[in-house]
Amino acid sequence: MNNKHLLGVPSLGIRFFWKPRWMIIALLVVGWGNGSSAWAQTATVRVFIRDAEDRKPLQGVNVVLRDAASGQVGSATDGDGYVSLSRLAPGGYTLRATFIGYSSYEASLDLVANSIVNLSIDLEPSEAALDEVLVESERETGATAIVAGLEVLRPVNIERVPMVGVSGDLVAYLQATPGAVSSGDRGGQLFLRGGESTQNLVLIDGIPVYQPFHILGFYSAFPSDIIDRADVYAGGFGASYGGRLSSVIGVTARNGNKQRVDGSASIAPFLSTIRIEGPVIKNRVSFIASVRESLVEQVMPSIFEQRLDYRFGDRFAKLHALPSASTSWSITALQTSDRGNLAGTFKTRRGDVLNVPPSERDSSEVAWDNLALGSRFSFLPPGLPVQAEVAGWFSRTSTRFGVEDEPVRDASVEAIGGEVNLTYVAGRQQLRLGLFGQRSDIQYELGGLFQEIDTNDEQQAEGGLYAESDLFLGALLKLMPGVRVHAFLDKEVTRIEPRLRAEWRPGGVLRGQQVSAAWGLYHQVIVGLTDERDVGNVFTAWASTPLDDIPRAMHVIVGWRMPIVEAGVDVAVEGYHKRLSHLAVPAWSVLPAFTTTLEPGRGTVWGLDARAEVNREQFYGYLGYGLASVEYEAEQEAFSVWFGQPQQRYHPPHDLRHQINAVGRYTLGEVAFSARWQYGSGLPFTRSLGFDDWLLLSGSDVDLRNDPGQVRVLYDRPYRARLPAYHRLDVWLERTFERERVNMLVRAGAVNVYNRDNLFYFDLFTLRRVDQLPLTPSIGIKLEIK
Amino acid sequence: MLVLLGLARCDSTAVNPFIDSGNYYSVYGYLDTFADSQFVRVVPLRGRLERIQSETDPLVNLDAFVSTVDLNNGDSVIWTPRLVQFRDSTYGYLFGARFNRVWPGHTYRLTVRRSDGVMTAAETTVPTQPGWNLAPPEMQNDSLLQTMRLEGVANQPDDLVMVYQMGLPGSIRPPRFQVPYGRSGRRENGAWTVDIQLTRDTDIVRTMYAQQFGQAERLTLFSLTLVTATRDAAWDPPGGAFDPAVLLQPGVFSNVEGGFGFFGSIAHYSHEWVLDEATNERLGFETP
Repeated sequence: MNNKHLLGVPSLGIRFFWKPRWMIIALLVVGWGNGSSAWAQTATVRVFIRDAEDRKPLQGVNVVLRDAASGQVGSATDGDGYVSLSRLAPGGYTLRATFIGYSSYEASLDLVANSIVNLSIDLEPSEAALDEVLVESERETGATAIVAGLEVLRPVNIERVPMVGVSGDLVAYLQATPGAVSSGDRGGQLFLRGGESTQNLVLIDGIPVYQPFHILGFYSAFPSDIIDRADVYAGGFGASYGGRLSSVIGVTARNGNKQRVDGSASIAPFLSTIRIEGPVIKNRVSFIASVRESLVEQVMPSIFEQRLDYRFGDRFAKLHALPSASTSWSITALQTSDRGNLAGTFKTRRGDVLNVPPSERDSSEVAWDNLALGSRFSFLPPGLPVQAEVAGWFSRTSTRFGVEDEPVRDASVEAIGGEVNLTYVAGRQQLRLGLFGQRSDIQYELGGLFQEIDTNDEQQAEGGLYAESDLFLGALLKLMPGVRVHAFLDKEVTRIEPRLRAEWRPGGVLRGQQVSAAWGLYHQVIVGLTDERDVGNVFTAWASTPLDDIPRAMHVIVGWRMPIVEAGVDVAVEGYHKRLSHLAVPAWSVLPAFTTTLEPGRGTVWGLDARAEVNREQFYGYLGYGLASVEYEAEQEAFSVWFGQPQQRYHPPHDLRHQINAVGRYTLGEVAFSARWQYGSGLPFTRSLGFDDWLLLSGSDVDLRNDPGQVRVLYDRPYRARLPAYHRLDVWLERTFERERVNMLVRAGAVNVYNRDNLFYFDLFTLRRVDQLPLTPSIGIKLEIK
Repeated sequence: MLVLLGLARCDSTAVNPFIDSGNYYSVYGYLDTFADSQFVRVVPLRGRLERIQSETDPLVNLDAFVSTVDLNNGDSVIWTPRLVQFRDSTYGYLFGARFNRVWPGHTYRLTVRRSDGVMTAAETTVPTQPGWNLAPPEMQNDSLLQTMRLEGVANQPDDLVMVYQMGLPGSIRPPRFQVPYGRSGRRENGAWTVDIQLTRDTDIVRTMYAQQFGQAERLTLFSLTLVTATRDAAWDPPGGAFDPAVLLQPGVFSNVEGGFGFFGSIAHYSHEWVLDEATNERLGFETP
């Protein structure tokens, strides 16, 4: 696709307006066109709201201004506790701030033309309303509260999915959602709704983290202890996000307690954790720090002949400051490290890796590290009716395959970036504008095993701007049109990405069913190179797409959500479709030195998610079913000579057709029993006819006596077979001990209770089979000081 | 739920990475009309990547019986296996057989049979003598060349060599000097056409003669011979080029049934002629 019509001005006409991308831009312009000239005659009120006890900014507080003449306007505070109400006619108002679980705040205001009024409000927690907090929170963030691909997760949601250890983890929740495919209980990869793991944008406080999942698949870099909220877009994300084809996992980390020091510590066979938080300057500056380190290598070095040779951990810290009533500033740092041998059974046979020379070591050792640093400054600019935010970040990830002193290959990506975001609120409408840019330095040394690509050191720059809006058409319909202009500077290509999200609540805002939809275009210039010989394909090197066109995706999502109040059940169903083009897919080769030469391909994803959630006083239950089809189509010369047709359609290895997740939790006083059952139908793989040796028989010059020839794998058509189904039952029993300032939680249980041989990886070349964890018991203790 | 779990517990977790495609061996080799011993490599399709690493490797036991039959006269030959070590120290099987003669124009069928009866087979028809069609010498760019058309040659000859027999006038057994032409030539009107560079070649062979026997003022060119090794009609890769990237693909450039690889035949033929007096003079030779 050329870009001349993107940078130029398209001809105007009826057909032009029927193009979806221009319709969305028109919607943005028209939605905000009327009344903008009235700024000079109006006033603005900017409110910052925080918890009166711990001084944490409160998100989601309803702020309403009423006057006798024009009725009421209002909005909710953002993640930093801010809300700005603009285009207010001069006059007297009553301001009311309400948040369930807190006492309401009410004050009178007298606004004059051209004024901007800043208010800082501390809301007092109200004990009587705590239960209501949970109820309201669940309605917006429960497992069925999915809105056009978006799930907003709070720690309470994450904690409900039982897992190894005593603290919740974001990845455990994600793995329980339909449409999520993981590489198993190890490997550190997650595929969302047909996208590849390298097509997810994972952010913590806006900082990208390239390989955020730990080598043991139970854990990510995001324990529930440090999460304030996580916005998980399985697709259809808005214009403020970009640069990835599939999904966004945007984690907002908690700010530390600004009133007093508290913390927690836990110990369990897989992971031990320490968290501490408190004020640096009381009521103004706080910190939170968390350290998690694996113990599995020491506590459980091997189990049932599988060697659990894994070492991983993460270190997180955040400093949050409120320099004034209209500013906030934060610094976030995250560091992770992972190392392990994914083919544990092989190593057991050969002994400890440290006692054998490097040349004889199992080369399925893999390691990766992440470092993410960022700072964010939010302020209310004097004289402007907007909230502003400036952020800068640095992110680095490095990964290696093979032993530490002699890696077979290694790769790294280092990126630095920044953004400026402006939010303008007028009544219920919101307009968000932003600029963004980043520069990446990508390096890899692939040890000559990747055809055509061996070493690389490239720089890459991206930048652009976006605009998106919340437009309310009546009380029940909300449209969120947006557009992102994304320039891939090194490719000298600019892409316009229109986005549209919509919510309709025909039964009212608080009750009844909800219909939602999303549509958008997405581009991603970097691709992940993997070698299929690697165990689980974990090693990933990033590179610019070698193809002329930027990989592109189009998402369509339609969802429906319905609370069945009488039965106490919430149900949600979502259908989705992703059309992927200009993908760079691995070229097919018969050489066991597997090629990662990339060839153009395209993909189609169809899927349906269904969820049901029961939430009663003592029982919580969740059932999710996912039906999906991921199909790639590639045209390669090898296909033509091999199968007679240059085009082949195939289902890539993350095409999980059927998936079931069931979670149940029964609480009786301080004791709770929980269980989780997961089922995934078999993933595709390519069978072979066997191996042979190949000789180039060009004439009488072939040396049949001495030439060994070239080992060849005789593949069947790509991905025609399916691996065995995967399923596993985990059960947990826990007891909570609550004292005045100390809580203790003891949790014991086991994963894979019926000890099924779930396949993690099958090496076609060595016929080596590596299974996921067998029956693995675990007990953990967590102490929390409030 | 318990029933579901019970059923789920019982399903198989085994993985069969291979499919039975009716292919059993890969075969590489050819019959050579010049040789009295013929060889063919037989590689069983195996279930692991590694080759035979030692003489005690379990893979060393090859279940294969190899034979050929001349489909024109019914003569059959049984081939003998031999475990050989390659230059990379791995091992493989080379089958050999003594042939009194490989007959031009005859079709030979090679079979590799496993003890359970399954079989891989391939056939080759040995190329026959081409028709030699020699054009008169002609001058081109101050050089003399002569064009030879090989009629009935199916594809590019494997190896072409010009042999010049020259010596002092009156020599009884004049020496022969070779100028390799490799796989040169072109297909033209159905025949393989080779331009013999007389001026260039005689300069070369004069130098060779001088290095071997010393300078001679007068030399006689007794005869010229074009020797060719022609491959059978099936020995023709896609696009006419031996491109490993293409030929590596299974089933490409293969005449083997129930397996992979290629089994062909090469026939060696030659044609001798003498130059006329005028051409000899132009080249600086005396006419015998």
